[in-house]
Amino acid sequence: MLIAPGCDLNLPNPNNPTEAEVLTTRDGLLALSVGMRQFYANSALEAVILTPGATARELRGISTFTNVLEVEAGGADLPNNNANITNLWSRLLRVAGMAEDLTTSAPTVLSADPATRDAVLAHANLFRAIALGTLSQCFEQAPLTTSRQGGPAATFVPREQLLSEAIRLLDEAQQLITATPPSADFNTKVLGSAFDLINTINAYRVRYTLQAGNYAATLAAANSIDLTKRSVFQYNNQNPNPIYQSAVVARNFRPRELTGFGLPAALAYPNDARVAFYIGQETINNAPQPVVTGFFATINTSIPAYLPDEIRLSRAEALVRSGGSLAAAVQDINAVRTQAPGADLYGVGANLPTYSGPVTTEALLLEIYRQRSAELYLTGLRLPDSRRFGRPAPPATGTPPASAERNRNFYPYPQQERLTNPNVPADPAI
Amino acid sequence: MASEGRTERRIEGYFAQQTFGLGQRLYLTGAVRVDAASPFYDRLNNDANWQTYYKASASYLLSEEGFWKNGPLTNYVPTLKLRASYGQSGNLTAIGAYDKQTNYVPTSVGGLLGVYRPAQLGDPRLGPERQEEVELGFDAGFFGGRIGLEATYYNKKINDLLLNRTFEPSTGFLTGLQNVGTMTNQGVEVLLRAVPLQKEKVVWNITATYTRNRNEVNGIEGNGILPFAGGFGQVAAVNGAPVGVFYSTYYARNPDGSLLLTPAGFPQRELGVNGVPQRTPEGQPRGSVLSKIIGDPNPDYLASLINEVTVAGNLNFRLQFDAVQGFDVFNFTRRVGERDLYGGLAGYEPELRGEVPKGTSAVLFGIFEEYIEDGSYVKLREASVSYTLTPKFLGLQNIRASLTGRNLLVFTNYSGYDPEVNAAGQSTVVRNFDFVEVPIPRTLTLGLSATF
Repeated sequence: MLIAPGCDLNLPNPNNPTEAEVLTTRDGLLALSVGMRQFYANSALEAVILTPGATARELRGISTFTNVLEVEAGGADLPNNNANITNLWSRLLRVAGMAEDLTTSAPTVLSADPATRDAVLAHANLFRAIALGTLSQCFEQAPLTTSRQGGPAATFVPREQLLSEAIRLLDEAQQLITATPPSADFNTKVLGSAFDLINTINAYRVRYTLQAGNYAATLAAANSIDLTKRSVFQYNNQNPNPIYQSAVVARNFRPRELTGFGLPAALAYPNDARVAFYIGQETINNAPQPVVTGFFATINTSIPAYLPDEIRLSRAEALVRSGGSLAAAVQDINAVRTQAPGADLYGVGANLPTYSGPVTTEALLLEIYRQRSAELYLTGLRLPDSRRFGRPAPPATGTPPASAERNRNFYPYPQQERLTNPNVPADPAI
Repeated sequence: MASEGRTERRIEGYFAQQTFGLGQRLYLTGAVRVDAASPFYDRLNNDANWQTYYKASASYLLSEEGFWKNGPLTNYVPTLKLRASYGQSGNLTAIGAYDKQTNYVPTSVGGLLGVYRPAQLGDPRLGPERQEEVELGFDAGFFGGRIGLEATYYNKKINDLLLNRTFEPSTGFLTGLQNVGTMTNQGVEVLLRAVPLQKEKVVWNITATYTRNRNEVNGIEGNGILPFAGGFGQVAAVNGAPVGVFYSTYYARNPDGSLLLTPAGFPQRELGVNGVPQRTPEGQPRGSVLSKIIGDPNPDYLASLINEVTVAGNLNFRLQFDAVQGFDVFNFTRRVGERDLYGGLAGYEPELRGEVPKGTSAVLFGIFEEYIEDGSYVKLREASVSYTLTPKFLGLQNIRASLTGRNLLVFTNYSGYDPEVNAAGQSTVVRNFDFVEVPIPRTLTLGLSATF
């Protein structure tokens, strides 16, 4: 039989780069760095803000989709095939997987360019830390590293270990780019003008060391941040602001009330100017209904990677919890309370009078919780804050009442994980 | 938002086939073909690119043999043909043009160009499915051709099934095509034709068919369960079971089969460890939620019966019944409709009336076994009458007027509108999924056709 010079059957994909091309070329790694951050901003952040937001009663689930209704109800019966929880789990793990690929590939592919290599590694560390840290905020256990299909199934570690790994990654990232500033190429191609890498790394160091209880590290990291620098995730029509899409366009979630940030009545401050920033109104059937605005007002509104006032409040909390100067803590609290909207980097100002309550550990911690709930509204932090500040837990059986401050402590593990991974631990009771 | 995508697929194949006829009685055919396709192209292992398929078949007109034609048998069985065949083939349809690769997704924001990981993992080792089939059968005519019987037995084995499975998210991907496992299809097909009445004025034809297929999947590694992407999370391939079984949560039961109720008196899902139900000291389920095979959409058999009567050569009556028996339908419509949140269907009324405890529908919502129903049906598929005229004007050969009704009646115990719907459309793996589908309509057609 003749071997005819037939057609060439090796057809490259003209639409997408393959993994081999992405992970073995310089341009591929830089593009993946951008893509990883964009995937976090578009997909992961949606799950991170909305699902724990409804669980911690910042938001009310109003659409009749089953997964929204289940998250809104919460309780011991929250099913493990809930799509919102599965998205939260899987999107964070996909971010972690991309970061792991960058960490493995950058040392070889970028070996000739240490400035770019270290910047790519630091940037990847930041997002792997964010993925692990956020998983530790929502689940009791999670895999420390993803495990490729075909290998052994991923094993689970307790959340304290996830947090300490996140802190280690962030410490390493901070050292990498302090020792070697990122190259100009990295700054133009990966960071752009909107994302401030070093301050974001330090901001997440503050966040996770605080959650882990390393208060000395929290104070050190907090004092190294430039509170006048902006660092935001950007959006456009092709990559829309996901909270805007879900809450304003699709009307899945609303703020719980017109004021009060979903806090119990005794805890919310009246005349808090931050209400006007975060919560808008729309009239339906002649009645005003709350709607999210602020960082989710339009399809291309940017979402900050962290807020400067989170740093101040975290510093105050670290001082109070570690037996440091209560007066210095009050100073930070007042800086947040009295700030006018125009004076804040993003326009989030409370315009409240100075703190006039007792200057004791207990009272200050409660005050810090009240300020965090308002200032850091819809950043995904209310659920871990509610646990850390010892707010009342939901009942272990039945559906939590509307007055419960949160309707779960931790989420069950998604059914999709459990179906083919034998290492998944038992679901938490509540 | 406009975008453009380009897909190109190239297939190259060569074949040779030869048929021999021996003495007007025995016919033998053999063929070989080689195929290659770009979706499976393996740059490193060129030998793997070309797939070779053989086939051979024989048919033997036993009734043409001398001893048959000249003996008494020819009066009762004038025609008898024996058939046998063996064939190999491959399958290309399950794979997209570029699915062997992990294709990163481009994105662009704020003037920065990026790519991110897709949800679907590519696998460079993917190859085509290969199937082998053996077929044996006969065609026979009886009573001067008034009765005809065709029967076939087939046994088909498919290796390296290409399935799009869901992964656990801790792999960093959500889905991926894999050559996993094997599948066998074996069964019989029988066709019976009879002409009970053949007079000058009246001819009556009966055609009856019967098909039975048994499907089994095997060779899935790990825990032997492969959930399907696009299966609404409820469909999986399970070793030893037919493809497309419904795999989901089920009732906790006592050893005698009755429902194990919660202390509050509600039914509940079975819990346990590694597929084995566990109990607390108080006798309640303990552990993680368990899933098992709760239903099978593959029917035990399909049959149809067609009666056709022609009167005076012009008037024609036709009546066709179809039966599909012994399969399950996943009644998702009932699941959603009986829930207190949506509460539109009659099944929710007992809870409104207080006949069952409040909260029952919310509990049943998570127990998918509740919504598996037997969909066996017999349908009056078609009833038609037509009249043919041969007018001698306008150069017409004939005019035919017909009145046809399709899907007129259905006899079934299925509680939904139509047991024949499928939310996943023409999917081979996700079948008989009733999720608020529009039932197949009953139609009445009046037709007029003229041949010139």
